[in-house]
Amino acid sequence: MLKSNSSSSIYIWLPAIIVLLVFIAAPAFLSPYRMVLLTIFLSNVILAQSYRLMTTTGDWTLCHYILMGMGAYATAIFAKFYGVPFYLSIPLAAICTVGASFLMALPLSRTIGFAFFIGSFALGEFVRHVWEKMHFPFGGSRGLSSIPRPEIGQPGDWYFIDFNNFRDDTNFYYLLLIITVIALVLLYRLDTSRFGSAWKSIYADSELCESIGINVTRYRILIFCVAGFFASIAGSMLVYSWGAIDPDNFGMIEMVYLIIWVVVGGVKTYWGPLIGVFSMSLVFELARPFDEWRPLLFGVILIASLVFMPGGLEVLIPRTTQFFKGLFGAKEVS
Amino acid sequence: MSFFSVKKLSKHFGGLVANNEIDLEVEKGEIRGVIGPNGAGKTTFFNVVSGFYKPTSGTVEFKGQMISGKNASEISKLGVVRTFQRAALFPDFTVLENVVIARHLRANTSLVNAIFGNQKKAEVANIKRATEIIEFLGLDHEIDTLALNLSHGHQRQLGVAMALATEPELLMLDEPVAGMNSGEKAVMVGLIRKIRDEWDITVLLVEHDMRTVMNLCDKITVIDFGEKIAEGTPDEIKNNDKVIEAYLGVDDSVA
Repeated sequence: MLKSNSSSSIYIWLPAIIVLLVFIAAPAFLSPYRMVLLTIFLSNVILAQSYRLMTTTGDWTLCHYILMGMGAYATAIFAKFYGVPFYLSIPLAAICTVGASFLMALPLSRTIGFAFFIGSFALGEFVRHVWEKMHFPFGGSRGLSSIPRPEIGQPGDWYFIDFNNFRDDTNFYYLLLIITVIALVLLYRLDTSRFGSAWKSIYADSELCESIGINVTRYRILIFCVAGFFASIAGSMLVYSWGAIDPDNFGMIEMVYLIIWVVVGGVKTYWGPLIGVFSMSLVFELARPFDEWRPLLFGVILIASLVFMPGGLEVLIPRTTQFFKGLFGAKEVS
Repeated sequence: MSFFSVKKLSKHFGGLVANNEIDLEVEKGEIRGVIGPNGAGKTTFFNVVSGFYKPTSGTVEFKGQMISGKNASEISKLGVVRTFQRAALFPDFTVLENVVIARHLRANTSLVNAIFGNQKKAEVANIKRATEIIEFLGLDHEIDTLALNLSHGHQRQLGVAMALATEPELLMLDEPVAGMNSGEKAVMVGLIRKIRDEWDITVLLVEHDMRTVMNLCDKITVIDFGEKIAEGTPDEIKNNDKVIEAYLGVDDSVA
């Protein structure tokens, strides 16, 4: 609907399609270990993008990882104890998470700014402690393990590519890739829709929103639930690729990493968090030899990006676009 | 049943009585002004009526429907919409986008439609109507300008355009000419008249600028220290002793 945030220029879509092709081709030249990293990366992409959606109203929550954990736990319980197939467990887990998000959003939507920030942290920690203390069904502090991988029939049964030529994890990877692409498309549609602009206008001026008939409380609850829905899908993907989860997977450190991805990438455009999660994951992997220095490194990166590039890496998009336009002497495309 | 009536409306902040049993009746098609010295409680009155504060006691009725105690967004839905003293707008959006967003109440969209429907098609009618409103207010030369780049006068006009986009029956303007130069004031006064005359929208406004109020309003209500002290046509108000007293004070040496 809105011109100022639709990036329908070829300079955005062409790189996006190239990146997608690279991801499709990835299993052919990556080691199994790298493939596992890649599946986790896909889950992080959805998580970062859903967190960005949440921040469009100006509500920076500290419990987004917990929403993801809810999805992960629900999926694990469905798959492990009830043998629910993945195509049912993922949506069911998402519905459960939306319900829980709604309950969390009811008190949170009555707070703003700092109170919201701290309130979301407290509620999130509460949920995490429930997981830690309850042995049934959450498995206590040891969590749940031996969660079966999704089964999509025998190779060559019903999909159009014969996956027999690839390694074992490849089927699974493609499944996650498909889910990721669908989730990203849905999130993009939401961002450009009337709901997207209503959320952004709540950030700009919530009083004005009330006066033109946008029920701010209701819309803030709604965005919490929608973000919870997508976080839950990310959680389902995570639990299927790890096969085990415990409460420590959804702690504060992970939440801080999520905030770093989003801040470094920028939240103003849809593409910012994608750039952020990609570049930071890359840094994370490159820093693997210096394991104990990682928190320091990430702290430095966060501060440096806040000081030198407060808009995030996404501010580079218009600049590179301009550069390529100049290079090809193309006329104004917008 | 009157069009818009306020009965014994009070608002207390702790021990402070900001509004004390104010009565007000507005007829359809009227331009009504609410004036008073600084701190008289005009803005509080406005905030209570438009749903931003809950009244301590008293009622507000619009076309026979009780609106006091409802949320601001619900009141807007019923056709009573306010503007703000400040230049309230969405700075990162263009003029057209601002007005299209303000069509929220008339857009009638669902989450499923927003994701799977044709977004462009759904907005065609809204964009058409928004363009009409912008042209009506004479902002069409600025239609693609970012709101934050507009002049103050144009920003305030955009505020009115956004209020009109909700299709109100009663438009409440909070100091519509505050901070404007004389040229901008004249434009705004003309627009308010035009809104009433051509679109048949009733106007209730709070204003400091006496000259504007006197030549624009059909009837004026004066508030002082939270209480209504006078009501009448501009000429009656000009010659009302209580009003003169409230604005100029009493000469103690004579009394």
